[in-house]
Parts: sequence; structure tokens; C-alpha cells
Amino acid sequence: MIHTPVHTNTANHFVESATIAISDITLQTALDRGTTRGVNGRIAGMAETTDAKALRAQARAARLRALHNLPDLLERLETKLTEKGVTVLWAADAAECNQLVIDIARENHVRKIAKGKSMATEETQLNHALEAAGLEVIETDLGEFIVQIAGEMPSHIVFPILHKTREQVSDLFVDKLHMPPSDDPATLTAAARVYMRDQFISADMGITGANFAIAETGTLAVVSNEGNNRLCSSLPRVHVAVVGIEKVIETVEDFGVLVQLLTRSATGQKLTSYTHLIGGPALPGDPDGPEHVYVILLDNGRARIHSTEYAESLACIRCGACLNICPVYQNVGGHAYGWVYPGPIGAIVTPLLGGIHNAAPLPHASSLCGACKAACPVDIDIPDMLLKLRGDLVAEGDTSAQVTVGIKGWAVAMGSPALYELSGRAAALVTNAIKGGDGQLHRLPALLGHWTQNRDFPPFAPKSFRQTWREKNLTPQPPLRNHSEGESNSPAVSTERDEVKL
Amino acid sequence: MKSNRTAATRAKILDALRSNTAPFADATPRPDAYLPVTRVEGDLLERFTTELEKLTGKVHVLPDSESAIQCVIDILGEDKSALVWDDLPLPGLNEALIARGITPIMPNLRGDSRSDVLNQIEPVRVGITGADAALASTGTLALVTRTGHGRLVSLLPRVHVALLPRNRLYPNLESWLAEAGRAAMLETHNTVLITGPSRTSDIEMQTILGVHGPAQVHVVVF
Amino acid sequence: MTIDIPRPSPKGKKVSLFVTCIVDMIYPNTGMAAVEVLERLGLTVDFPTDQTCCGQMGFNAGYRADAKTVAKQFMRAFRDSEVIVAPSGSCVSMVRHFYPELFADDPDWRAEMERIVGNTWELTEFLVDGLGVTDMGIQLEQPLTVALHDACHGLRMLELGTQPRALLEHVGNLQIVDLPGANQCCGFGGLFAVKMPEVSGAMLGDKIKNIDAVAADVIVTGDASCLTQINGGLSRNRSARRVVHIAEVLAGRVSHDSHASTHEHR
Repeated sequence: MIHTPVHTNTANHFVESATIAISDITLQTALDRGTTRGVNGRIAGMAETTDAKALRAQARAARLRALHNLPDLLERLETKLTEKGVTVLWAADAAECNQLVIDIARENHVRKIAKGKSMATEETQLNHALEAAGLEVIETDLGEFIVQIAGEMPSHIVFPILHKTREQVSDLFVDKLHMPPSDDPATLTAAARVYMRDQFISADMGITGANFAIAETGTLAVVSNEGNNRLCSSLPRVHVAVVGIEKVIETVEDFGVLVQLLTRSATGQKLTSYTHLIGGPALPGDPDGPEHVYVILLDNGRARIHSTEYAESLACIRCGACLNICPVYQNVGGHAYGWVYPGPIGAIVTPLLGGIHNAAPLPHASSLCGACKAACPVDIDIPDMLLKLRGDLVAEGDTSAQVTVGIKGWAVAMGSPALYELSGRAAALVTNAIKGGDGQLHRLPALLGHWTQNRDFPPFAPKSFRQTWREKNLTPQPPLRNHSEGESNSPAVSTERDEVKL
Repeated sequence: MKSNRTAATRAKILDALRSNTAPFADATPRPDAYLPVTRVEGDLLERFTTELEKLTGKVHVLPDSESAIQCVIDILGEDKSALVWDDLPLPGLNEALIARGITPIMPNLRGDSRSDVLNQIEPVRVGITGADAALASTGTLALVTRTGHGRLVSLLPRVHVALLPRNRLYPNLESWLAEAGRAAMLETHNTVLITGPSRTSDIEMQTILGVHGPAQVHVVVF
Repeated sequence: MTIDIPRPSPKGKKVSLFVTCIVDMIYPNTGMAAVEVLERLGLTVDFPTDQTCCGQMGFNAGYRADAKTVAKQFMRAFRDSEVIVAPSGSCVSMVRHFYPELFADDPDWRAEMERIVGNTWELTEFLVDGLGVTDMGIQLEQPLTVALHDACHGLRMLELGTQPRALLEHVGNLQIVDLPGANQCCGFGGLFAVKMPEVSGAMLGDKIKNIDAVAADVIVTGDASCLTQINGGLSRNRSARRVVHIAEVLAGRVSHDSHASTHEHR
């Protein structure tokens, strides 16, 4: 029996973890291979559509409408599912969710559970809770299974073991499944199939997530390539689906566009091997299927986010495209982000769900290049939300004193043309005095020393553009003025200014 | 267990969602007509074949029922049994199988003790189903679970053979959803859209077929 | 945040140069090149000397109030300007995308903000989209092969993909080759570069790998910040390659031995 450790949020150690990841050559090879394939898949997949731009707009609108009508749609979904014989339950947080699953297991005399891939249950650390309650649970997605037996967390939303090499998987299988070593992915996969078939056959309950919950028809849509989700929801007598409340969408048409943009953005596939549409327990005439289906609608912070300026983050359909395209993710991988959701979307979701002070570096773990937004199938403005989170960190005083002093000084200087010019001239004097023989600066003081740690910096020009301009245009050197901020309330009205001589 | 056991949490969540101004009031309204993700120009069967074969699926196009039956028998090879739907769109197939010493097994997995049934049928190599629809632009089969149309037959075996009458082709997912999918979701409890074989790329992004479900998908069109 | 602010045609209007703080203090020649480009088209260029910075550094660091202080100075400096042109997609993105956010609830400044936002242009955007000019009539003295690095904010926030290429294609004696990963960030990101130097450095490493793989005499880009980051890395790696600002190419000031367009090489 597997014992899943409790995973603590280590997002505050982002810089340390990232630095280690950057120098891990094996990891770098795996990241390069995985993200390149993800990016190329998406580009090809989105190119082969009627009109990628229009489709993204259509998909975005579907998600935003659903979030606008969220409480109504959840009630519609609940009504429809209940009509079909599904037991719909609501969980406010991780503990409530896990307890519900444990209760369901006990009431149905369950011993063994086969589980499909679900980010929501990673969030609630369901496996650990189930094991603590004496239940046996096995992850059945190959990647998640490997993560589980390794005692790790997935490092990617779609490719959980993007960080692992075949040799590492082989070592793990030798150790945990007692199979002979092999570096052939086909052999390793075949061994996993055999091992997991036995687990499926003896499982009393299956757990899955859902990619979408269609309110109009009362349908959970689950996409997968392996087919393990179908096994989890078809073989055992009990099926439990843990569904974040933000997963609800309104109509079948919305589903049509969203599911195809999900798979095209995630892997470039037109559809995954299996798109499973689940409405309820086996009907009287059905030859097979579960006798009981439970849907747990999980809040765990989502309703709170819904009321903030970060509501757009709930539109995410978890395709992983923003991870693959992100130059930060490409270099540091998923584990550096320290919690369940890595990459650009994780840099937003982790502070929002787990508390911003527990993930203070994440909003800064971005150059704001915007590649994430451009890749997102629902056009989520990730850079804008990262900027807002940075604003929150400053507003709540969660920032380094050195940076605050620097920025305050910068604002004063930049708020006044005179001080601006004065500091520019000072910088020119200093940088030209300390530059190296090649004309570059090799070591800067204080926080700027982080720049010269791996890059040179050019000295400031002895003569700035504005000085040259004045000479060229023979305009008289104007008196340098110091404008105090706060006096002017209107851009069109000039106010009295103190004059300063250089 | 009754749903109302979480009534308090339910009220708390819905109240929280309703206590603030709902976001995205300016979201684009539902369009009258959705832009489909793909369109098909030309022959549907040709497109379906192209798409499924890209995914290693095999499409066998046959002129009549007799040749379709023969095609299934060829796929079965030396096998002595096959999982089948009770209700197949190809009359005479079961009789033909029995005549060749192949036992058609119609699995029934209901109630509480399931592992015995599963252990018995797990080794069977081939599963034969019908298909409610085929979606040309994605190479997809739609299988709606109902009386005589179980889930296991297309799920457990290594090889899945789907029998597809020609008149069940739709251009794309959107057209199937509108014309048949919505009704299937409302009236039945389980539908699967199958697009090629079971696959994984988890280990070093190398694609391996048949990780949990079938490694081969054959579609016999007649 | 996107609000619809009308963008009137800049044709026939007085042009004010927003040179940007980095170009002003570190790369004045790039600023002079931008002036040359504009004057070559017969435009009269004015340089309001009260200008300092767009405020992006503070804004991106999360210091919105301080950024607003600086943004107000920007708006005061350009209060008499009809059209504002800057040789930086990043600074122009700050004005066009984030001033609306900073001044949305500020009735004293909102009207002026909308006027400024509607009339601020990045240099290549101004030439191609604003004036309809792609041929600057520049002929280089010697054949030169260049590769373009797309600066992120210009590319994704202002949609400047085709404009710089169209302008370069019309420069005589100049050949453009594709830079692998041209639209991938160099890792600058403002304060990010000093807050997370290891990550920023790793991204820079990827960019330099791509630059090493391309057979171009010089790399061209539209933002002085990328230029500082990439040239800082190339210089530290003792590479002979350098990145130059597109304004210098469009002014015909670039050649084989173009090094970093800093003053000391002139």
C-alpha cells in the first residue's frame, strides 16, 4: 500500500528551488523536450481551425458568461444531475471535501479506490486523507501513478512527470513494482497496465475530476488519452467526481467549442482519445456502469475569488498552454512553484488559493512577456493579474525594504525633470568612473549587483540625449526646476515650482 | 446518503456567489450561431478515414453485410472468444462467429460483486461494438451507453472493432452535438467519444498506445 | 484592462519625441537616430524637456501610487503635444494599456489621459500604421545581414509583428534572416532582472544560444531594455555580436562593426 506524504506549500522558496532547477541538467533536458512538444502541438492544433482568433473569443465569452451566471448554473446543474439519480454534495474546503469522500467510501463499504487525474483532488490532498482513513487509493493515470509512487507532486497540469526521465521511471518501477529494469517507455507502460488492471478489477470505488460540467444537460465531461478515467467511472460500483465550482458551463454548444480548444491547446489533438460524457449511474437497462454516482462541488476559495478583480482566473480550463510557452516555466519547471498549480496560471492561483503571503515570490516570477496570454485559449490576462498581485503585495507591505527605498527614490526623481536630470548626470559620472577596460560595468553595488552577477551593464552616456538635443537645437539650457508632487491636480495647470541649480 | 447533508455548505457557497456583483456582466452574449472549430468540405467518409488513420486507426469500407462480417472474422484471427454488444447493427455476425467456433460474450457488470466477471473477461483480446455516430473532422466514434450497448466492450480489450453503418456520419462534433448529442446527454447516462486508440505520452513524451484501453481501433463501414 | 480610446490619424500633426529614460541616459544615439528617421520624412520633431519616464518600473514592481506620480509628470510634459512617438514598444504599452487603469477613477486626469493614450505611438507603428510609410529610402553602404528579436511588449501588447519587418525589408543592401525563438523573451522584465537574476539569466542564456545559431551580422530590436539585457549577456560571454536598436538601422547608421549602440563606440 502506498503512503502519500503531505505536501506543504513551498512557493516562498521559489528563488532557491528555481536556482537548483536551472542547474539540473537532466531536468533541463526533460523540460526542453516537454515544453517544445507542447508548444508545437498547440500551434499546429490551433492553426488547423476555421478561425483561431474568433474561436478563442467564442470560448472566452462562454467561460465569462458561465462565471457571470455561476450560482444559477450550479443550481441548474444540480437539478439536472439529481434528476438522473446523482447525489450532488457541496464542499466548502479541502477538509470537507475529503471527509465527504471518506464518508461515501465507508457508507458503501469501500476498501480500494481507483483514481483518475484531477487537479482539484491534488488541491485537497485527497490521497493522503483517504490513506489516513485506512483506505487504499491508487492513481491510474500513468504519470500520476508515477508521481504517487515517487511521493512527489505533479510538475505540470497536463504532463505530470514532464520532469522525469525514463531512467528515473525505470528505477522507480524496479523499486516499487519489482520489475526488471528497462529504459523502454513501451515496456514500462506495459508493466504499468498489467499492474493497474488488477487494481481496477478489485476497486470498489472510482474517483475522477471533470473538465467541464454542462448545466443544460447535467453532464460531466472528462477528457483523457489513456482511458483510465473511463475505467474509474465504469468498473467500480461507486463513482465519485470532485468538481471545482468554476467548471460549470451553460450549454452543449459552449462545450463543443471549449473541449476542442482545450485539447488543441494542451496537446494539439483535435480531441483526446476519450471524451467521456457522464450523466449518472447505470440506467436499469445498461449492461454495466456504477450503481452510485456522487458529484462533489468544491469551493475551496473559488467563491471568494469570484468576488474579486481576479475572477478571470476562474475562466482557466487547465490546458497547460501557458506553462509550455512560459520562458520562466521552461527554465525552472513545475516544482519550483511549490504547490499544485505551476507556471503562469499557478503564479496567480497559488497566491489566491493559498494566501498571497505564502506565495509572495510567484507574482514576481515573470518577465511579463505576455506569451501566456497569447497562448491562452480563453485569453486570460495573466500579466495583468500578476501586476495586480504585485500591487497587493506592496499594499500589504510584503516587499523588501531595499526595493521600496529604491522605488520611492525613483518616483521622486522621475516626478521632477530637474532631479531626473541631476540623477542621470550623477549616474553618468559614477558609471564612467567605475567601468572596465571594455567600457562595460562588471560589478554594481547593492541590489543592482544581482544584474552584474551574470550580465554586464553599460555606463550612462557622458552626454544625455537631452543635453545633445539642446546643443543641436541651440535652445538655451533651461533652469532646472524641482517640481513637488501633489501640488498639481490638473495636467493643464502649471503650478509654481522651486528652482534648483545644478 | 441524502443530498441535504451538505445543505448548509451549499447555501453558504451560493450566498457567497450571490452577495457580490456578478463579474463579467459585459461578456459577449450567446451567439445565434456558433462558429464550428472545423468544417468539412467534400466526402465525409474520406475525411473520417484520413483523420482516424492519422491516429493509427484502421477504416475498412465494405460494400455489404457479408463482406463486413468476413472483415470482422479476419480481425479476430485465431481468437476463440470476443466481447460483443448484445445489440449490433450487423445482423448475422454472432451466428457467423459461433459457426467458426468463436464465442461471443455479452458482458454484464451490474450489482456488487464485479471482480469475478471482470477477471473472466479481462483476457479477451477483441471487443465488437456498433457506433451511434462517426464525426468526420476529428476521426471520432460516438458510443451511447444503453440497453444492449455496454461500456466494457470498447474499453477492456486490446482491440476495438466498431461497426458503422454509412448513414451515421456527421461532419464534426458540433453537428453531432446539435442533432444527436444533446438528446443522448439528456436521455441516457453515459456517452463516450472515442478518437483513436488509448495512448500516453507521459514518459519522455514518447507516444505509447494501449496503456489502459484498446491499442488498436478498427472501424468497419458498410 | 482595455477600454476603447479613439486613435486619431497622426498625419499632418506636430510630432513630439518621448525618448524614454533609458535611451536618454544610456543610448542617446538611438534617440538621435529616431529624430533623424522622423525628420527624414519632413516632420518637425519637438522634444518637450520636462519628460522623464513613463512610470513602468514602479508600476511593474507593484508600486502603483509611485507609478502614478511619474505618469502625471509624463502627462504634464506632453500636455502641449499633438502626437507622441517613442522608440520603445514597452514604454508605449505602459502608456496605452496601464494609464487607463491608473487614471480610470481620476476625474481630474481622465480626459487628458485619454487624449494622451489615443495619440501615443511606438516608432515603427507610427511609421507604418500611422503614416503608411514602409520605405525610408535608406541604402546601406555595405551589405548587411540582420536578424530581428521581437521585443515582448511591442509584439504582444501593441501587435508589432509585421511593422518592423516591413521597414527593414525596404532598407537597401540589407538582408533579414530569421532568429530562432525571435518572439521569446530575453529575460529582462524590469525589476525581474534583479529580483530573480538566476531565472532572468537562464532566459538570457536561451536567447544567446539562439543568437549564436543565426548567421547575422547584427541583431535588431525595438526596445532599449532588451538591448541592455542581451548585450549585457553577449558582453559577459565575450561574444562579438551585438544588438542594435531598429531606429539606428532605419537611420542608416548601422554597419558590420556595429557594437552596442552606446556612446563610447561613436
